[in-house]
Amino acid sequence: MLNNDDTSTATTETTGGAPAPALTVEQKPFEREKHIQYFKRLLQMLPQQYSSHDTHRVIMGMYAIGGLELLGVLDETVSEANRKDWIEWIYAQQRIPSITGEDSDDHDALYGFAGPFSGLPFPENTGNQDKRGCECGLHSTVYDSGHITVTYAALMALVALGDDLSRVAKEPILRTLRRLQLPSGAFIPTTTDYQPDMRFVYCAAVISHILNDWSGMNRDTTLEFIRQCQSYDYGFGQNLHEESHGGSTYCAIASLGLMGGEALGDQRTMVRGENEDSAAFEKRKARAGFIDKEATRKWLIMRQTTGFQGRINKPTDTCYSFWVGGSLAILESIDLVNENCDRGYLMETQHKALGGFGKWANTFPDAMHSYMGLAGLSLIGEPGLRPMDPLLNTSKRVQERLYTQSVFWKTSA
Amino acid sequence: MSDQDDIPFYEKPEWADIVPIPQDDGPNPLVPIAYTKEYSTTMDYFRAICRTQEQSERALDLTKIVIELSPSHYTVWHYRQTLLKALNKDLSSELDWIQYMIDENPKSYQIWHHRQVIVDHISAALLPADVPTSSTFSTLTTASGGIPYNALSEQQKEAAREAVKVELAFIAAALEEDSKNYHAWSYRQWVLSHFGPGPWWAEELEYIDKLLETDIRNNSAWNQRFYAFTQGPLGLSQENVEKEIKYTKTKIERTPSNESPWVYLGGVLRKANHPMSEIKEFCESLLPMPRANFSPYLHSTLLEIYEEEAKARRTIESVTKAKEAAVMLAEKVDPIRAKYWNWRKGQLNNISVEA
Repeated sequence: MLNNDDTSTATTETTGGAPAPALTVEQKPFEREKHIQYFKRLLQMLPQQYSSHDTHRVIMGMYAIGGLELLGVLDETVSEANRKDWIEWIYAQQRIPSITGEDSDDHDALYGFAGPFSGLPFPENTGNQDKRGCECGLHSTVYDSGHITVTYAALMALVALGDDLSRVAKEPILRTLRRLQLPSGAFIPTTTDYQPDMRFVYCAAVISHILNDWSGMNRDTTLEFIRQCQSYDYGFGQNLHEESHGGSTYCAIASLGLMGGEALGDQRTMVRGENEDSAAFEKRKARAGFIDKEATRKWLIMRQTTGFQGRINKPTDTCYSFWVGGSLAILESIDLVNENCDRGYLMETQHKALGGFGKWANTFPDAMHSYMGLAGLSLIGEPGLRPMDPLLNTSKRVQERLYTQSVFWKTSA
Repeated sequence: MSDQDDIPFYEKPEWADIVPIPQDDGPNPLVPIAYTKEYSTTMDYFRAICRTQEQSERALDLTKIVIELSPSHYTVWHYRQTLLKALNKDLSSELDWIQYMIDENPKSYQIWHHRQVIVDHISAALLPADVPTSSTFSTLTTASGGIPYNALSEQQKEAAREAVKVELAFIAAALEEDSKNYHAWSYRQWVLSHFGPGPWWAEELEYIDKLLETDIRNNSAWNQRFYAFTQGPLGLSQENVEKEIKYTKTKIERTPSNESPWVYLGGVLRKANHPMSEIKEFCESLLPMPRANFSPYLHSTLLEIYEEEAKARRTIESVTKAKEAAVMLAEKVDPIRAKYWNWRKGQLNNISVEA
């Protein structure tokens, strides 16, 4: 019952009116070299406890590549031979329509990138520039299907590795996205898994952005879903009525940011124009993603403890320095964060011997928290890290590569 | 595991006819995993069985082995669901196994979802005859509106109440282990609403109250309270709203520096279209309390109320009062967010004061 009475637990109250203690935070050194070694080891071989991540292995690849990229050493670390082989490996996970034309409507939900587990033969590297992955023919089943998160991670990893995306099967991926969106606006991850949530909305938004084509998504219903996931405290849950959560809040806000322009608008402060009739005003409001943007900003700011927590009254955790910090960066409010406290916490969660970051101090590092620790530090300008684009959750350099080198962007630029 | 002895399944005679399909990872894969022999051999057999979509007891056993090794595998669950149906299996023993799996993997999205799929399928018997039910488990019947509890026969109502009782007890056990398990709460909302407007909604508020007695800072329980209060069949009558406001104020008085009841109170007021100014006196009455006067949530609520007042009155006094609240937060009460509160103070300059 200790937790139920402020007189017995809280630190500030018991002082009976004295101001809160001064904020002095120990700043341990940033173990940059050890982090480089940590991510290099991940790329060589993931230890066996990662077996349960097998179907989503490319996500681990995205974090390992992304970590080295933020540390500024990706190009010098990955040899040209590895770079080419890994690009081939990622394309081998792509599901594409059969070249012989046995494509059918049933296959529409299968496209995109899949885990490396289905037993299809690794497509031979014939040097053919049209060769893009495993063909889905009459023999294909739902068990060969792609997965929206794997597709997102594969595209991000390809851009980071400097591929121009010319072998990405854009139209089939867009057809599959249309099949994965529910009437509510939410997305399911793959045709055999009926679990919609905000994470998959974000994946769909990044995929649409990378392909520079939003025809795979119904923007109106997506916006409606995102708005409805805003909770009574103005954070966002994974689904309607669910508790506000730093991860789903990032996915919601970043999706709005990727949708661009009016999607980041705020219904609360919108004013009807002098020459605007009420129907037009309502329509304009429906294109805004926030019910009360100021209240969402406050919810995010309130998540800072030293680093950040993901939910009200939950412990601080490394990854929320990015999920919450990134959301604030999208709202152009990262400068409102207390960097000193945030940095102090992240330095504590570095693993002294192995490199990488755990979720808490003295916990074992893992690929996701290690990447997010760097991303969080990059947002607050840590020296020795490349600057981030908070929407795509990658370095600005990789973002630039997408716009200048990928086939979907460079001609339109 | 389905076998009690130590021999791996793939060394048993009933698997001798299967030609395993190895994983073809190409010459130089990205992030290879140091698979154990048990993992890779199991997957080799699973690939072979999956390729032919064999519908057999041994295939069903194998899905269980794969799931226990890799619960986040994204196609094995659907295969298992298809097999359960094709082989006409007893779904109550499936629920027992799920219970075991959730004890082992309480944070697996897939396992909780599997429970939902199975319970959805069992409960389809309570749906009106004209509602199409899924033949492959791939979509939930909830999409068609859930069970019309009030239109059920007495016998059916009894069955629905029993099913809800079993599920809520099962979820409560998981919440005993981790009272903030996101999956458990998500599934709990589905159970409450899927079976329609039954008597379990009233009991839910009592259950949440019990959890809040144990941990008044459990924000997941507060969120569930908002769900039960606003989405349940009890309705937002004026009497219920007043009761809820009073309940929350009592909790705030006990723990003024607990963010959960503060955001909850704001949520209830807005939902019922009450102005925030309604709690101004309550907030000001807390200020002299030693354990309340350093609550960032008390002071930020006051800031919000004073800001609204300043926007309405547009007087120097009202703006000054709001600024003082922001300064108090920045300098004394909540210095970690000093930059934010100072920014909020700056925003107050946008209010054009009438001379």
